[in-house]
Amino acid sequence: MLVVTRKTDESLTISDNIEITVLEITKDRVKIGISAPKDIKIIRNELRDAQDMNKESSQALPKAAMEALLGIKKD
Amino acid sequence: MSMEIMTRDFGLINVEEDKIFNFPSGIFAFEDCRQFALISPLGENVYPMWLQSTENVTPCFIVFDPATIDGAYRITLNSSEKKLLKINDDTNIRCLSIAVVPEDYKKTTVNMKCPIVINADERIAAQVILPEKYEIRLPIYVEKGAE
Repeated sequence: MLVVTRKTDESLTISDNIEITVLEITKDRVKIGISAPKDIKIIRNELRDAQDMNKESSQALPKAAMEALLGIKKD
Repeated sequence: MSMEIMTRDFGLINVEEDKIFNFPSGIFAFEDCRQFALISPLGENVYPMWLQSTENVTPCFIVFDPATIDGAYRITLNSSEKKLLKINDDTNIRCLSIAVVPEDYKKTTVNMKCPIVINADERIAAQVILPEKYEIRLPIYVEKGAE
């Protein structure tokens, strides 16, 4: 991974047309501004992870797992 | 009032109206699915439950109660989430965690980071990403003595 150190209001450019600016830095979070063409998809990674997990979860339940789940009794 | 729905795992069943929830913005990756039924095949209030789309056989999710998995489970909603869910200080809220259940169910994980939050009074629900540090794939059947 390329690591670049930036201060507030400093920016960097990726591939000529994506500009990333550090807008605000606080103790445990950083506010980032992104200027990019409309066709560039930008998504928070936790949202992508949640989408992936939902897709995985929505698939058919394996038969063995289904039987096990239905056999589980709560204590 | 009840509604007849075709389910993924249990065929055609009748679901009482109070078990049907509206998702104004769907669920992540299933934004078009706006209505789900919460089915309890193991008995009333017994988890896991099945969160079944009322419009189609899929998607259908296996869900657990995150509060029973982590007794200290707390969530923070931002103002737009509260507005979407019509939540105020008096609203009864419940949460569901979506599970990934593999062939070996003991390897089941639940998403504690992105619960489905339900306004139980109005039966409106939405999936949110919490600011809290919770696992997106928390194993729930960790056996004693297992590594």
